[in-house]
Amino acid sequence: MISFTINGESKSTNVDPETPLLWVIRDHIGLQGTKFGCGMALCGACTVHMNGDPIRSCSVPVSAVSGQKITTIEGLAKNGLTEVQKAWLEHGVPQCGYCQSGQIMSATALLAKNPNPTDDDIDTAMSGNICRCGTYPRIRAAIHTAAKNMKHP
Amino acid sequence: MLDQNISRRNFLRGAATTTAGLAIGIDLVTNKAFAAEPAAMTLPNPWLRIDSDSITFVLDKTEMGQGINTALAMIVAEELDVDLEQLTIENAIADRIYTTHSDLGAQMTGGSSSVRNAWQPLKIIAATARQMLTHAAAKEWSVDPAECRTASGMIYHDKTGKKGSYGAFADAAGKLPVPAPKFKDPATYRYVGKATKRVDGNAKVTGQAKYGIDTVIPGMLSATIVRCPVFGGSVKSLDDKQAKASPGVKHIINTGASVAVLADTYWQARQAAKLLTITWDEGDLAGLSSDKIRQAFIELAKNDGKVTREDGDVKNHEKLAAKTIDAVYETPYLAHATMEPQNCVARVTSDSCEVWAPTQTPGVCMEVARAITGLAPEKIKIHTTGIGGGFGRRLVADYVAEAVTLASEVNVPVRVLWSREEDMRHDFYRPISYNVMSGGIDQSGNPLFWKHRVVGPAILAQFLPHAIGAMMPPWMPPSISKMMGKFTGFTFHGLKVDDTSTEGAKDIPYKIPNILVDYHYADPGVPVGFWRSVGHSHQAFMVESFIDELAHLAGRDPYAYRRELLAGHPRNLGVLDRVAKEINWTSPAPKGVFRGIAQHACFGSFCAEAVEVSVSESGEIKIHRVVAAIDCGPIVNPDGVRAQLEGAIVFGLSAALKGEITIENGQVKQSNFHDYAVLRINEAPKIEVHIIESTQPVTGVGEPGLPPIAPALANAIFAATGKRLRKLPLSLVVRNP
Ligand code: FES
Ligand code: FES
Repeated sequence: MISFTINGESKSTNVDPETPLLWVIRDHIGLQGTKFGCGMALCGACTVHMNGDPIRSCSVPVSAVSGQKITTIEGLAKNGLTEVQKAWLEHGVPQCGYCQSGQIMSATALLAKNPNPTDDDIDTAMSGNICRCGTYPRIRAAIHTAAKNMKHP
Repeated sequence: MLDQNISRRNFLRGAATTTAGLAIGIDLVTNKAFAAEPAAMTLPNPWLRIDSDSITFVLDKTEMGQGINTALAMIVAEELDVDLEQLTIENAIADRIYTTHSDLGAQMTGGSSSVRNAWQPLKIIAATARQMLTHAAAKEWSVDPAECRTASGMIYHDKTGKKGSYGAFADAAGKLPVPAPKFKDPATYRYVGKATKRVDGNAKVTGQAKYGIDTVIPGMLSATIVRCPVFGGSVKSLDDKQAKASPGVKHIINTGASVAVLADTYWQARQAAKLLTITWDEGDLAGLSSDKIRQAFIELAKNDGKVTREDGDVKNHEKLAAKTIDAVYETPYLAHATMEPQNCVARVTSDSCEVWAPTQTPGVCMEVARAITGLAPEKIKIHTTGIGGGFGRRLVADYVAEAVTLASEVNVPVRVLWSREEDMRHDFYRPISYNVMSGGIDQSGNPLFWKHRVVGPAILAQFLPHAIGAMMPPWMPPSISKMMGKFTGFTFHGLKVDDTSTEGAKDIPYKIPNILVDYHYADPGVPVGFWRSVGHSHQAFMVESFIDELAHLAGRDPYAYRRELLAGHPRNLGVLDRVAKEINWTSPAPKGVFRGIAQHACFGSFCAEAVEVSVSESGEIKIHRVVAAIDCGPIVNPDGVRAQLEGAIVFGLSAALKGEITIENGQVKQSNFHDYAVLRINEAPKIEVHIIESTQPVTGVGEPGLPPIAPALANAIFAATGKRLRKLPLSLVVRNP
């Protein structure tokens, strides 16, 4: 039995411990905002937080998160939207939206550590997240806006 | 123009849900574009449903990121006079009704056609509905309808102070005769032409948006399909003992072409699939390689092809040129790599079939389901789900066929979900293209002749046999459709010409007295399909690079040279001039930065792009800035247009700098994003989009932003280095094969 916390709730599972966290989140816990894109930690669609750090849930066996705190896109906003999500809307970032849960999770983790990211910081933190619809320029702008608004909400 | 004779009818199906209220359709009888399909013309095509507590806009186009849900809803909200938020947007199920809404002959979304096709009918539908509601209210209040006004889904009669919601009058309106529509004065538009936020933004930033992959049907099994890595191969022998014993596995099905493992969950199915021992009959393509394909193309290119454009007399002017230039341009096969891998859920019983598919072609899905189950169309329901990127990949319903086939076998709902590797290796690729070009200029530097030979496969020859059923009248049995499909494919083979192979090449707009474009049909057998902007996506690279070569051969500025040769093409010129102005073409670029420019028209829209790059000593290309201008007629949502241009540019840059599918031993060599790289945020340039004000007919915007980017970039690299890169992906570094 593997137990961990997800979005503040404790969960236990007895699936094969090698099962990637992604599939436990999606298929067993039923939270579908976290997406499958590559299965090889190459695209970032499956990004969630483990104790606040972004991880690629497709490539982390569920056994590795035993006792840890996981946050998914569904767990970000406690009251309304976060500044990151609001900035995403303000800049009209999503197109198909499939990559955006992962993008937002990566951006949220970046801003938690670095409230004033430069373009280079954004490149470093976000280059693991692919967007085939090409929303990168807006993602960059939205991260700057979110950074600003988090300081002066 | 469309017939404006609107008639109110009930839905053909689901009549029970629409007996009350107002369901409005539009009779498209006189629209010549649909003349090929008489059966569909007489049907109503309902997009709008108004009842006491909701206003539903039925979206028959597939929303796959391009923002069509928002743009079309804006048109409806505008003429119906409701707030965008008051509309409930529902995806249409597959129905022949919606074929009348498409110029592609089947219910599908592609060819940058949605706004172009829907603009007028949706305006008519919404405006008519508003009038009928107003009339119903006026009648009840015994007032003159002309004295009533509407706003945000309410009807007001200011003199008497009476007011009521649309919902309150929907039933009464449904019983009224249908008036000719009165449109809003565009000067009073609230939405159309104004930057408007996407209707699905909130769902997409909170993880609530649902995609194909999120479909869950109680009791469904998850299937992993192992396909022969060699195109066209089949199963020779199978040992599935170990896989069968793997946890969660319920069925193993050998379809002949592939082996499917069905388990309780995706991960179980995937694990079990690794335990299969399959020997393959690799079939005819076992020895195929990119190198062999190229050699065959080179041989073919030595002979004349089928002429697709001939102006003047190239042969006799070749020798008269003051200077000539010869070049070979090449582009590789490309995968779509949609962010959401292909997937589909199907449930089949003896007398019903239900499919949930992230598809651009519900019409083709219907035909696929019909052919596999043998059921009548009334027994089949195709739901279009949310879609994680289409780009043309989901115009093919191969993954739908898989789900329906497996679900028919096991009698429980089945989900098919592809891995990224399967998605990369079993795509319908952008066709490879090999091009021999030559051109000459006269004494004064003007082009004298232009010769362009295209060698490559044809999409329609492969696609039509697959799609034809959806374009046939509904009474046609699947077997006949299938036969027709084969026949149509054969016809295309026979003609050996296909617009998608030389589009963009044969319609070159430059003033050149002698032009010859010809084409060799050559299909090595690798599946090919529609890839965002189709033939234009590669042919613009050839044409816009080569015209640049001629400009340099003539010692002229590439922008000025194009300008002169585009006299008489005001819209091409309009976008070209605009980007030149915005990038400050006539002033020097910052030190170490170089510029390239290109323009291209497709799908009725005109687009130009200019690029600023720098190149490091080691040959690393850095793109600083892209400036784009688009002329696509009147704009519904300027922010949507900008997003589409940005997206097309990033997608096009992935192809220009990175994308390449290569074949070895009949198989695709690449498998995931490590060896089929796409642009990432650190490589994405600043993008500025300028929209040309236009009163021309409305055209589309999903694709036209893509073609100019590769040549604009190649031209900038030439400006920076003096090296003319004639092969995609562009690279200044010699790569080991
Ligand atoms: S699905 Fe996990 S990184 Fe791509
Ligand atoms: S929004 Fe479609 S992949 Fe990013």
